[in-house]
Amino acid sequence: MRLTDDNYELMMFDLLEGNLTEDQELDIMAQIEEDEFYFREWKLMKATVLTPDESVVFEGKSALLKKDTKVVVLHRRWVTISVAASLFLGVILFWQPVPTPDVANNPVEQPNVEGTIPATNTTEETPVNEEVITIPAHIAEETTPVRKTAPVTPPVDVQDATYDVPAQFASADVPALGRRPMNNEIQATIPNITTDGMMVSSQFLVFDQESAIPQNISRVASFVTSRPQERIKNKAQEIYNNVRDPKLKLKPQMVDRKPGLEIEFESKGYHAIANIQPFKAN
Amino acid sequence: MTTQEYNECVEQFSDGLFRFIVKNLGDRFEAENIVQNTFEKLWLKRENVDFKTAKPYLFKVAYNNMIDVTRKNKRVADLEEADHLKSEDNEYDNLIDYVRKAVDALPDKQKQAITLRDFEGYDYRSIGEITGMSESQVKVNIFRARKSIKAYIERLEIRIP
Repeated sequence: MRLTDDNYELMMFDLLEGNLTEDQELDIMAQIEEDEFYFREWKLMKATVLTPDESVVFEGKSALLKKDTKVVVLHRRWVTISVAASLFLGVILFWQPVPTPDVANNPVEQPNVEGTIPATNTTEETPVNEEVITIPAHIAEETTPVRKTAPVTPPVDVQDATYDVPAQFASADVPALGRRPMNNEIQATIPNITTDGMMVSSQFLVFDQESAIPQNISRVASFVTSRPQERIKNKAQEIYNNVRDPKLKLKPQMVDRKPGLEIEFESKGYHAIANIQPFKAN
Repeated sequence: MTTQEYNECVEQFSDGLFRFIVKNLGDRFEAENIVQNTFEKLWLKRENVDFKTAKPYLFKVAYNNMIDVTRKNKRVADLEEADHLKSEDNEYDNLIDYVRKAVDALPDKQKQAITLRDFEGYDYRSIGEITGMSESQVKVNIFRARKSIKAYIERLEIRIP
């Protein structure tokens, strides 16, 4: 391509920007060097390239930098398991549920504020100058119901309980069961329980309406106890109530060149030790 | 983008971004605000921005903020008034200063395009993505900018080695 007065600026611009091929660049450069006018124009075009002023810097870099918050990831399975077990044990031991008040034996009495209706019906003589409204008992119960809960039955230790075997089951091979009240209510279903503690499909016990004796007695022998979840809960609650000054110790240890963790729990009346070691899944 | 990569962006690109904004706005205080706001936005969007594309992202955000400020302070460019800046000693040492003054007097689009081209080395396509111009428009603006600066230098009769 040939430089002319009409195209030399655009050609020099493309040469400066690197928009030409190598051959085109050599051709244009050769023509520039041969002509004095084009040479001066090329120098002026090269002078238009800007250079940044390195003295201009941003002084607020430190305020923009952020700190990295490290997150510890547990890669090893045994570490994860031991930490999870420790946390679970700690929750179980230190969690204390709010005890439910025995309202049936100790009914909650609302404060007898002057001008309000008292919760219970009172027959005491009131001074003439006091304005206390005495309401009938049946109305008092309807307007100001007092929350009543069933009395909490103490947990029954299965091993210590005695069982009176009725005559009908004397010949049956029935394991010892805890004492529980028999009633005449019809119970169509029972909770899902098994002998080995696993959950299976529900077994139906059909009770006779008059004697409350299960008709399909052969299945009774398959139950170790009734309501195991409630029994476990009551036992755990008993432990919680009796635990005083608990102490938890974690001791990393090596057993047969395998890392492990010993968890020791100690309190007044209870002492437990657990060892956790990694194992290979089958 | 991790925190470390974000900090790397601050170290590498904050100066160049600041120079670009200062060159186009002519106001250091406004430029600092724009740079801070730009990096704060990058921090908030760091999960969606890849480290490799962080630089054009920064310039694009800064450019948009700069346009908002520019619209508030509209400036009129007139290179004909540059005659009074005629060099007295025609030394090469003043060439760079006069070129920078010539750039300051350019229209916004031309100034933005040529500063991104020469300061940061962006190609036409990247400049178009930052400024919202097409590649051909970018090339035209850079050409006109260089032609104006060349004419400005020539009018001042500055001696070029």
